[in-house]
Amino acid sequence: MQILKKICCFFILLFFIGPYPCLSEGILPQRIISLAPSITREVYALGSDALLVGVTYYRPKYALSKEIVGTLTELNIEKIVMLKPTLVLASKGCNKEKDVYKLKSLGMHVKVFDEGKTFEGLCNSFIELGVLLGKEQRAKKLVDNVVKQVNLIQNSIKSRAGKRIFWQVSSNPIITINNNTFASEFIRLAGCTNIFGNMPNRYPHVNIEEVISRNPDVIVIVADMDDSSSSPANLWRGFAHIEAVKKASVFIIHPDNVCQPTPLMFLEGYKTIINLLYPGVI
Amino acid sequence: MNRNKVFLIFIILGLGLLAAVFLALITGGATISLSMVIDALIHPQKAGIAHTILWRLRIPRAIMGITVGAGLAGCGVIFQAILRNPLAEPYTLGVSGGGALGAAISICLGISGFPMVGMCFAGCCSSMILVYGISSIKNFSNTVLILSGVILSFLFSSTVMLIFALARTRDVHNTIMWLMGNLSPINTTLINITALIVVPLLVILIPFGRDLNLLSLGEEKALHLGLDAQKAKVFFFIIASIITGACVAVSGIISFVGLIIPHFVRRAIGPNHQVLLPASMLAGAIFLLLCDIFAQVIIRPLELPVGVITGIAGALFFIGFLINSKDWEIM
Repeated sequence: MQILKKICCFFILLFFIGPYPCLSEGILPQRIISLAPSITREVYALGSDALLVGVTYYRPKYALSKEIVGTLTELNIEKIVMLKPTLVLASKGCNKEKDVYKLKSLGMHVKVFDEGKTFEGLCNSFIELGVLLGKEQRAKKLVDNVVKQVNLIQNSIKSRAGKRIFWQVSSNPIITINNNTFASEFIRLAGCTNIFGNMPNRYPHVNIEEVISRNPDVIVIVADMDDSSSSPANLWRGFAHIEAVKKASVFIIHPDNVCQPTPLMFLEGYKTIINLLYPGVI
Repeated sequence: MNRNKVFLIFIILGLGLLAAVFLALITGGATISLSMVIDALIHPQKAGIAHTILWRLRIPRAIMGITVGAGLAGCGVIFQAILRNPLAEPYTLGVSGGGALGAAISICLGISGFPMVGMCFAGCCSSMILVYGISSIKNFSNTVLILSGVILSFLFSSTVMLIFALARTRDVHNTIMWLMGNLSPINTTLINITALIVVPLLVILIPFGRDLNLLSLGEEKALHLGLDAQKAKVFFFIIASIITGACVAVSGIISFVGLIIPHFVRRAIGPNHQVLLPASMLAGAIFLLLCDIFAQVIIRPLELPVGVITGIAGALFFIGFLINSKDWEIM
């Protein structure tokens, strides 16, 4: 019993001392860990990469030298503790709530960013990060620049007729997106409509017959493959009744192009999609 | 069981299959009127959306449903007979685990289409070869077969978990969706190839019903009655594993068909494998077709993985069946 008491006291003491220097107002973080690839990109874009001490396994090439603290699904909590971060940056959609809770309970300062579902939300999160890292001006400037370019492109396609798009994220089974996803922002800002936009869940598993009868003008397939013989576009070959097939508008986009919710990557993805939908505009 | 009754049962099952196919052709993810379907059916050379949906989607899907349903149910009968175990099913000996591993690897490497199906089938075959290798040391005794199959299943599923832990989230999601099983006709050629492998193998198996009867009595009795039990067991094991592997490779892991259909049919017509085997194949085809229609229609235009429907429907039926069954019906 005595021993048990001692152990309890030790842990209570540990809890109060907390080996992690907490972040207080006005003091900038010195050691940052990013738990999502998109956040890692943003930290680099803000020029604060020198402060970054840990990243997740799937990271952009320029972050290869950083310490790895696990993958999105399997974080190495001990490693994170060892790196003594003053600020941990997490994403609501990517990281598990359980992990965030664990890190917070260990006394770490964890900032959880909303999952960017809209372009505006994305920009706001980025500025928020800028404020946290003391780079507010730089963040605002970057966002202004991106917004300006997006507006410019939007103006140049204003006169074009909007297209009906089928956005395919998996081909077996066929999975698409609804309007409540990050990728649907590309469709919205391109002045187009998502043929499954009003589905109740975000990544609906739809029936191929329904895709054919909704007859999309364009099919966008998100897939990372170079081997054209097993291309997921083959699925649609032969369905000559679909407008998209008739007009040879079945496109494959690399996921890295459209699945990284940062303002800069959004601009890149937006340009890619506009180039596919309206060649010659940019 | 007299000849007339057997004849009657096959007539009923045949008509049931025809009805299920007809239902599968007139219903699906999209709503097309009956007259349009019939028109497209009568004039295959015509063009039009109804025509495309019928000939490129619904008919291949029905072929797939029949092939996979018959294949899994037939293999279920065989595994239950050769292992003399009412819990045996096509996936007991680790075939599905190997397939899942093949699929997980190819999804994470960004492989799709034919090569992915090939990988998956290779996974199934490698699991079969491993089970064969391990149990051949111990003269293919049932216990060793089952144990090595179960252990391999664990090994494969742990490896899949390992891949999940390391892979990108989207790959994990895609693999899980694949694992649930679905009959969506991604590639018509692939479906034709599968049907051309599975259906002849099933037909080859049908005349061996008597051997299955002997095997289900136990190896010793089978031996006394003039059957080389070990050879027969290996023959059934390999053919059934190839059929299961082909089904898993094209449609994912569709659960429960191979476990419950043999039990239901055994109850209806008795344990004679000469009748039980072909009847189970027909019943499996009907059951899977109906489940697939249900999976497409219930939350249209969204689709449910058919494996979920077979699992839920199968389990509910089966509980009722177990409560009302006599001992001989279970084994």
